Amino acid sequence: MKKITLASDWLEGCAGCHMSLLDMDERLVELINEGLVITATPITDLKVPAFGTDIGVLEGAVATDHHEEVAKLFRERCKILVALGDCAVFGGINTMRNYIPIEELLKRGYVNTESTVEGKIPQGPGIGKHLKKCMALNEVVKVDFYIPGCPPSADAIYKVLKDILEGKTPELKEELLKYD
Amino acid sequence: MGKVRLKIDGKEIEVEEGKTILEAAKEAGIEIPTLCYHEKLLPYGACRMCVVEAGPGALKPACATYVTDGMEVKTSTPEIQEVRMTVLQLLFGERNHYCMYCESSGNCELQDLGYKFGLDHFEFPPYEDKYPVDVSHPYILLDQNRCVLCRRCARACAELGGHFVLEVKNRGYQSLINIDLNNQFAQSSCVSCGLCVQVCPTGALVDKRASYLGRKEQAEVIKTNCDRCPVGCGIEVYRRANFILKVYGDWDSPINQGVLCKNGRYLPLYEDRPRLNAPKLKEGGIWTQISPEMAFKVISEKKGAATVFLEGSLPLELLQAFKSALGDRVFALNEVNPPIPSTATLKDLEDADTYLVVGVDLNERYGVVGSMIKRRVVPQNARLIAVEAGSLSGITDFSYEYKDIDTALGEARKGEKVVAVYSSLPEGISERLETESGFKYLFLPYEANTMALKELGIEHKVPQEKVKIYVGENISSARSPGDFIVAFTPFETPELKSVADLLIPITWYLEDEGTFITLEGKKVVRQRVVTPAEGVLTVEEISSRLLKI
Repeated sequence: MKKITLASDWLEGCAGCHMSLLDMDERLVELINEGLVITATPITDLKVPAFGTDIGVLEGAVATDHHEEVAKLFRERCKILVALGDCAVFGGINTMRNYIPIEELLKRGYVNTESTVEGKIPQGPGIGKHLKKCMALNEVVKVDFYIPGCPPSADAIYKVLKDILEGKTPELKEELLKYD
Repeated sequence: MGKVRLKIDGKEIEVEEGKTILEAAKEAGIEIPTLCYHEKLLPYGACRMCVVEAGPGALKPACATYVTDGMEVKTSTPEIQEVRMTVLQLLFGERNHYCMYCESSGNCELQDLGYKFGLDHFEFPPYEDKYPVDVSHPYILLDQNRCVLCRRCARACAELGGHFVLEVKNRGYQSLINIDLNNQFAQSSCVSCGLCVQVCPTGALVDKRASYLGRKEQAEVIKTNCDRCPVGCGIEVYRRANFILKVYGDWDSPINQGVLCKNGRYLPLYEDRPRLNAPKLKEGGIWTQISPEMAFKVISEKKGAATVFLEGSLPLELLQAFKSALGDRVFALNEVNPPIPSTATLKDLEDADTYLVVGVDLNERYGVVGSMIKRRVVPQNARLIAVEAGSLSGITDFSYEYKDIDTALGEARKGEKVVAVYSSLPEGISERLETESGFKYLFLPYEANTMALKELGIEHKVPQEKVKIYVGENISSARSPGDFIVAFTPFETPELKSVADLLIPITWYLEDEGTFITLEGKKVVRQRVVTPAEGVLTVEEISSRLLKI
């Protein structure tokens, strides 16, 4: 049986899309039995996809230089890149911050929060720097397939993965195509 | 009118001259996607979703191109679909069209088109500019960020409502919905008819109260008639569980064709007077809750001396029940008879050239009649002559006070088809108005069911008796020593409690089925949309109990 490797990661997202991925339940086992090999994901020890990974799945928008790096890494190492969920596909709810200057935004979040006492803005080399604008994945790298939805349904994710496994071009229609 | 033969997607069809390609295609059962188009509005051609191939040259908008003889139309070649997809991408790319936090998601024509065309990502990087949001209006929220500039709101405001409040300012991507030449919604001349919300295809104009309480698919839509005034407009009530989300005008209604007013669309949903949920009796200054049996026993004891005063807001069935139980001691609380009987119908408003509105502010009351008149004044050059007509005076060149009634009548006489519109008239004025021979008269009854009171022969009388039974929603009464005052009412206001002795809860608005007689004498039915709270007596229950007293 031909093995198809899959790596996934999340960027500026809420992990909801990955929950939806797990929501495939026994169908995930079915896909694995049909040759899907899940390699690097946020919940595995291995975090970085190997060169030549077949499917890269990214959730979340591109908001910091870290995200940009991960996006480019995935594009470089994966043959097919799938944008999972509204944030990766459209930019989503995170893009609301594009209206507000970053300094003001961080202050509001870490210092001026009603419940915060002597707050400070976290800094350090391990923390990503905000890009000027929060973007959809396709504004940074080329994306092959899109699964919109907030979160996308497990059915939609299953359909796309199944189609790729079967060598078909995935296309979401009707009930599977949702923006919310 | 002549017939025109044309071919749409190879299908030979024959339609009437003067139809658009879109209408012709619809007749032939061919669907063309639209966004800015609205059946009740004039074609505008703003969005270009409906482009078709029709003869040489550029693609043409089907909604705004008229059919010609021998025309060959193609509606869905791959090229056309590609152009439409690009248009859709441009629409999504401009401003904020993220569905996930939009109130209109699930009930949005832009979203529907996205699904239909299989749009699964944005070709163009989406919005960066922030556009204003106007939250000042008590009932309506305007979010320019969600606007697709279809101008349906502005067109409906002018063409259907006759209000001319909304327009578009600026050009290109900076275009914005403009309120009264740069005003805030709350300070504008908006009369809160809500038509703009009803026609908005996206989430740019939303109903504040109904927002995020339930989507269209979660609600049931019940078609019925409004009972707030004697016009009797057709309404669509959105119900979720036992709760009214919102009220829309019924486009198919022969009376209002979708148009509503503030009183029909918003006010009843914002009603905040405390409800009466059980009969209550005052003894020694203390209110105690009693059973309905007990309440009707008290009424039965007082029956011999009691006089009933009915409000004209009540359904015919309830009026009849009191009439048959207490016969000649039943009166109307408010005036019933018209100062001058009606000779016109609402249809007559459609082709009149002069409207003489006397003593009634149509923006405040009978708003739909106001729309029927106002929408003809500017575009059709009809004249509006306002005599003490409140805010109507501000929108016409012919505005008079009662003392100038002769000048106003002289001005009105210049018209060929004159309709005089009035409700109550002061003494002297009705006599002056009545003598005009060429006028048609449209009397706007005082209350929603004044015409039913008239049909039942119930006359108005000023309450003076010792034992009074009031029935209605806006009851106030004087009290002198020895009085016994009963009120059948939906609301227990402190004012009412200070004068009444016995309160009996009745249903209100869409809680009960009831018949209303409109100003044209048509019988319309207000349906039961929500179940009344436990303890509230329905019309049926009151009727059967009244029979036994």
